[in-house]
Amino acid sequence: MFEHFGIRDVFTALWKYAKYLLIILVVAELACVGLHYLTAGDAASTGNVTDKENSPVYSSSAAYSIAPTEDGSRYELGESGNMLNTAHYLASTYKDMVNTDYCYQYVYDAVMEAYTPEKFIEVSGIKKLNPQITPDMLNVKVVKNFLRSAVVSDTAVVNIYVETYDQQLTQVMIQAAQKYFTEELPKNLDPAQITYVGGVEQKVQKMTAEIELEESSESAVLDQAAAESTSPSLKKQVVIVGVLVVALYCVVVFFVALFRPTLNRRSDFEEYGVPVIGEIPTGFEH
Amino acid sequence: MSQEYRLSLQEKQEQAFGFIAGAVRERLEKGKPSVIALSSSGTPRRIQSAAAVKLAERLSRQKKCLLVKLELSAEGKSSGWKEEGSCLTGTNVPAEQLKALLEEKKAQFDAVVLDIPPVMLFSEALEYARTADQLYLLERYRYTLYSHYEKTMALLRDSGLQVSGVIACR
Repeated sequence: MFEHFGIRDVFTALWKYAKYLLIILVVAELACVGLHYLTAGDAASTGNVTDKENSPVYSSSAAYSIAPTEDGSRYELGESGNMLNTAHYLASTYKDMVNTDYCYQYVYDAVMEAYTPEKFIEVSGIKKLNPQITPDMLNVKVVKNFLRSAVVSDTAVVNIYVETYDQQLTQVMIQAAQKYFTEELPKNLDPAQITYVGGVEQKVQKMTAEIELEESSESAVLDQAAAESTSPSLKKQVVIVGVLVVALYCVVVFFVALFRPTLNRRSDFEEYGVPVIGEIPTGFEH
Repeated sequence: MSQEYRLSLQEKQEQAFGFIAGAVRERLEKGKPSVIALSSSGTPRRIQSAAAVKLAERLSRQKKCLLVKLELSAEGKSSGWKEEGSCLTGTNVPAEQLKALLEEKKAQFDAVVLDIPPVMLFSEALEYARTADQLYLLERYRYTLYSHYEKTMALLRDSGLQVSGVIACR
């Protein structure tokens, strides 16, 4: 069965069905983009973590501007000789440290001082993510579901964002994260000037999408940071969908070429002892 | 490559048919009227018919040539011969009737091109192919399945027919 199968035949088949790949790719990408924008609205109003129906979500964010403490130029040479923006580098480092187990442990300890494990499970909304969760399953990793940080693009501002179903829990977590950020991190990282820029506290109702701003910041940068820290990247989704479609196409065409081999070149006909007396370019039938 | 040396698609097709017609002409016996059959192992009918028309047209530049298009349908009812320009069309024509026509037309023409349906699909097409002096198959690269081609070749071999050559469409 497979005596007529070769790598050249696979490439011939890939080229033969290329127009179908193009159509499917365009449709898949459009569907991905459409779904992204359809679901982005829901995610913005509810948060992608705490998704209880009809319950308000309490979110709080705090933004800090990071600057190097050493006076002089804001730029310094790195090991490879490239110019580095020290403030951006510091901000990125501080942001990364918020997403580590050290920070989660700090916040988790603060939460466990204020709540019992049972109460925490009840008010936080963690049951929606894991309905089987029990108090003895709680660990520092659970904080990851509620706490995020991001660097606002093209700035040295780090935004810390907390979102839960309980206003007090949100306050406890954001205060612990802020304390870790301003007091603990500078002890272990490169010294920096950390300046509080502002914060936002929001209560968002899922079904009606009412947003009550209790304490607002006038900075559009903070809003952008909040959006960046919660919404999934469209570019990444489009690339992943594209790669999956192409991979699936290759697999399908491979099996089509394997189980339905075609005569693709002159030598294939001449194997049967019949000469090819001419080759006509396509399109003459029109 | 310089633009002036590039051939357009139409020119390439003309050139290709010219080569094919030349190759077919070489195989014809000098002075003796010949019947050339064109079939396939599953190429779409419109492509095969277009190729037969082009081949007959190229052959007619140097020899008097007649194109006979033969169709087979499930109805089985014979329609007789219909003249469409310089082409004769027959549907479900019995092989004997075809032989009689060929005997008549050989006296008037140097070459007769028969456009017959795929021999794999119709047993009557094999009978048509038997009336021809030369049999050519029109096949398509990347579309003609090995299974169909091998079946066609086996049928022709078992019928004692030899394929003179393959005309390939790219």
